[in-house]
Order: sequence, then structure tokens, then C-alpha cells
Amino acid sequence: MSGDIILLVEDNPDDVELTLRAFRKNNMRGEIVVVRDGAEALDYLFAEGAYADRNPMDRPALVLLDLKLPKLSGHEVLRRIRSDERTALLPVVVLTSSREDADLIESYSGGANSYVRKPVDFNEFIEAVRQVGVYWLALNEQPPR
Amino acid sequence: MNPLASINLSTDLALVEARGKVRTLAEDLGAQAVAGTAVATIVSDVGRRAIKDDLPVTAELAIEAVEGRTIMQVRLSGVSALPEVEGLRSRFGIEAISSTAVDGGRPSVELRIPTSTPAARVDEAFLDRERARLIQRSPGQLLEEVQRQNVELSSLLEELRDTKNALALKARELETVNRELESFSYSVSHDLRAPLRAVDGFGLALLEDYDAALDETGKDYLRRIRAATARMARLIDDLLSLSRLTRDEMHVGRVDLSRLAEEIVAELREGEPGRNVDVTITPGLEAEADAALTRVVLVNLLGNAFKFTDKRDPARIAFGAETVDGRLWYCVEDNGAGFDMTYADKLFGAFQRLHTTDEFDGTGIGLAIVQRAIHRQGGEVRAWGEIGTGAKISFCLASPRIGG
Ligand SMILES: Nc1ncnc2c1ncn2[C@@H]1O[C@H](COP(=O)(O)OP(=O)(O)OP(=O)(O)O)[C@@H](O)[C@H]1O
Ligand SMILES: [Mg+2]
Repeated sequence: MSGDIILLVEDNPDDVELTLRAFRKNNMRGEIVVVRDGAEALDYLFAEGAYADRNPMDRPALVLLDLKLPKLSGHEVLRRIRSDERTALLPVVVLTSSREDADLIESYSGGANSYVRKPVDFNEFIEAVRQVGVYWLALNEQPPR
Repeated sequence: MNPLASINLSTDLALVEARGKVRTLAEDLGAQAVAGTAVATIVSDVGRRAIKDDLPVTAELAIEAVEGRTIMQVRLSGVSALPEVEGLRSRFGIEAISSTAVDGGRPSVELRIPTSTPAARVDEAFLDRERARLIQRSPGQLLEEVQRQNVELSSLLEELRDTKNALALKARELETVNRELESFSYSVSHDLRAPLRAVDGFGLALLEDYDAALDETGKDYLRRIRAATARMARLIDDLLSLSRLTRDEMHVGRVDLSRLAEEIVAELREGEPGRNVDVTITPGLEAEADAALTRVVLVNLLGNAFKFTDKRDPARIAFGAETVDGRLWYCVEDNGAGFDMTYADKLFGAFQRLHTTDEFDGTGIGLAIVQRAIHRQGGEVRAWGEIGTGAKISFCLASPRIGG
């Protein structure tokens, strides 16, 4: 088992900073790897491109996935993750600003493990991140790798 | 016999002409319409046979007075017998008189059709008028008429095609607008919220991490920034729900308004357990409506009623219905703060309010949503209010009815 790596797929630098802050506020341990678009997320997961040196067996414990991303959308990234047997069981939490039902439905039918709408109020955001962390990192039994 | 018209049944056009003239004369003389049609058909059948066999046949139309009544005559020369004339006598009183060839002339059959015109009315002027009417239907004029109608028809067709194209264009435009609306509300929901989250998050970070560096005024400013951010987030959400109201498909079915109102009131009571609110709901009010839209309407109207009565003890709220101008109006009435009727028409605009946020919280989207939800269903909404007395909002739907 690798240490708890959380892969944060997020293009907005403010959201990256705030998410990291929310993790710190919740005293969540583990390494957070930030990738800035959908293509980079796949490169990281499958140890390709800029991440070719990475051991592909070191998979993150959790992927936090924004939907609106440059290059490949979050939905597309999710589909690739689910259709590759190496990552088919990886826990993916969609973390998005979108309040559109269509996004919620597409995420779940694409195989997302949960869907969190990022609230504007930062205190609520910290709470949402805390719940995601508690459930997916502390309580949830990891699938066999 | 001094004929009013005489037609050689030698061309297709002549058949059309003869047919038309027989019918015109029969009509003008007040013969039974079916009799006129029957004779006209016989004439064109005879003519068709004559053209086929290349025999010369002439149709002559004339009028004769018999015992104070006018008889219409159609003489077909060159014809010796008319098998189809059997039965016409019994049905329309039409007589057929055959004459064999006399003096080297041609055999003929004369059809005599009774009419309702008194013989006294048939004078020279009458005959002249009738002759003129029959001349109007000469082959040239007929042709012209057909051509004119053709032109008319093709311009109608063109118009139809234009309309069809215009409609298709409009449909495409609408589709584009809808798609734009989709992507607009998507970016409203996504792109507009992201920066707000940053403003709020970093504002809070300043308050938390730089507490010592900020004096009370600085902190107050930051708190205002955060409050404004929260308000903006709410405005965005409200705007979105307003646009969603027009985007979502409608499903019309039977909706139990009374039960819906009960449910909503129960939720509202739960939200404000300390309050003393008298609610009266007329049972059994039903409508053919979209359930989701109707729920939105009642949530907002009852929500307003609860909100604007918060200084009343007891607050009184009623949901009922009344018939005005033959239409059933559902109404939500309260004894709350009320409003100045001068501005009644403003209430339904988006973000329009008649009270300050200090007095009553809100963004002013509720009634705009109500109006849109009702208009979408083909209904109408009205507001009545009096400062210090209360308010009453009434709405009707396209096809209201009371059930039991
Ligand atoms: N029952 C009522 N009694 C008195 N005033 C009312 C009532 N309902 C509506 N109004 C007036 O109409 C305005 C618009 O109502 P609307 O429901 O659109 O907005 P709101 O209730 O202020 O805010 P929101 O519904 O967005 O929370 C209100 O601000 C208020 O001034
Ligand atoms: Mg309201």
C-alpha cells in the first residue's frame, strides 16, 4: 500500500488553494497531488507522459474530480478511469461548482462514487471536504489493488 | 324555342362550359339543386359520348312558361334516346321528350326541369339578365378563370412554402436560443460561483490567519464582503431556478392543491416552531396542472404569507378558491404587513421588493417565479394588498375545476 495519495483534478488555482486549505483545516494527512487538466489526470493515473517515471501501481486512495476542465472534461476522465481495469475500482468523488441535475446524473451513471457540490460559503466547503475525507479515507475499506 | 345559350359539345372545355351553364340557370331559376346537378351530369355524359363517337351534338338552354310556372329546357340535338333519363321524372319531376328527325333535321331529346320561378317574373329584362350571365361563362372566360385560379393557387402554395420555411427557421432559432440558455445557465451555475467561492474563502482566511493584523473596522469590512458574497450566491441560485422553470418539460395531470398546501404548511411550521399561525385550507381543491410548477407556486405564496405575518399573533393564513368572471381563482390570503397597491404591478418583476431586507429577508424572486409558473400553464395571477392589513394573491389556471 502506498501512503494515502489524494489526486486533486482542478484547473482553478483559487479552488486548489482553498481545497488544500480545507484539507489542512480538517487535519487530513496524506499527500495531495494536484493536476490541472483531464489529460494530465490520466497521465498521472496511468504513468504516462510527464508521469512516465511514476510507478503505475502506486494508485491514489481517492480522486477528487472537477467537471469543467481544460482538454478532457471531468465526465470524460471518469469514463476513462472506469473503463480501464487498473483504475475501474478507484474511488472518485466529483467535486464541482455545477448545480445542474444533468451533471449529477451523468456523474453517477458514469460511475462516480459520490458527488459534492462546492458551496460558496467556505465554512460549508470545509465541512463538505471533511465528510468526503472521513468517509473515503478513514471509514471506507479500500478495494484490493 | 328561343335559346338563352347554345353550346356545341365538341371539346372538353365545351363540356365544362355546358355543365356550368346548366347549373347556373337551374340555380337562378330556383330548380332543386340536385336536379340541376343531375341534368348537368347528363349533359356532360352525352357530350363525352358525342366527342368519343365524333358525332355533332348541341345543347341549347331555354325557358318556357307553363301554367304560371317557369320550366327550364335543355335540348340536346343529335341525340335520339337518353337511357340515363329514366328515373329522373319520379325523383325531380323532370320530363324527357324525344323527337325524331323531322324535315331532315336531327333527332333531339328535350329535358324539362320544373323550377320555383313564377312565370310572371320572366320578362324581357329577366331574360336579358340571364343571357348576360350565361355569356359570362364563355370558354375564353372559363379558361381565364381557371388560369387566374391557378395563379392564385400557386401563390397560395408559395405562401404556404414560405410559412413552412419561416416556421422551420423559427424552430431552429428557438433550438439555438434554448441551447444558449442551457449553456448560459450552466456557466451561471459553474463559472459565476467559482470566483465567489474564492472571495468568500480568502476573506475567511484573512479573518482567521491575520486576526492580529486587522482592527475591528478591517474585520467588519471583511464580514461585509462575506455577507455580500453569500447574497450574490443566493441571487445566482434564484436566477437559475427562474430559468429552470422555463427549461423543464411540463407534465399536466390532476393535482390536489389542498393536499399540496397542507404539506407545504407543515414544512413551514416546522421551520418556525415558535410561531402562532392559524391556517385554514379549503379541502378538495384540484386542478389539471403541472405538479412541479404548482408546488413552486404554492411554496412561494405560502412562504410569503408566513414571512410577511411574522409580527402577527396569531398570524392568519387561508388557502381557498372563488369564482370570479366565470373562472375559478385559487387564493392565498394573510393578515400580515401587506403592501401599497400603487406598486402592485411591480411585485411580479424579478428582484422587485416592496419591503427592505431589514424588515423582511428575501431577494424578490419568489413572485417572479410564481408568475412564470402560472403563465407557462396558461393562467393568470393577481395581487391585492393593504399596508398593515394583509395581502391576497390569486391565480387561475388554464382549465380549472373543483373536484370532490
Ligand atoms: N403576502 C405578502 N404580504 C406582503 N407583501 C408581500 C407578500 N407577498 C409578496 N409581498 C411583497 O412582494 C415582494 C416580492 O415578493 P417575492 O416573493 O417575489 O420576494 P421576497 O419574498 O421578498 O423574496 P424571495 O421570495 O425571493 O425570498 C416582497 O418583497 C413583498 O414586498
Ligand atoms: Mg417570496
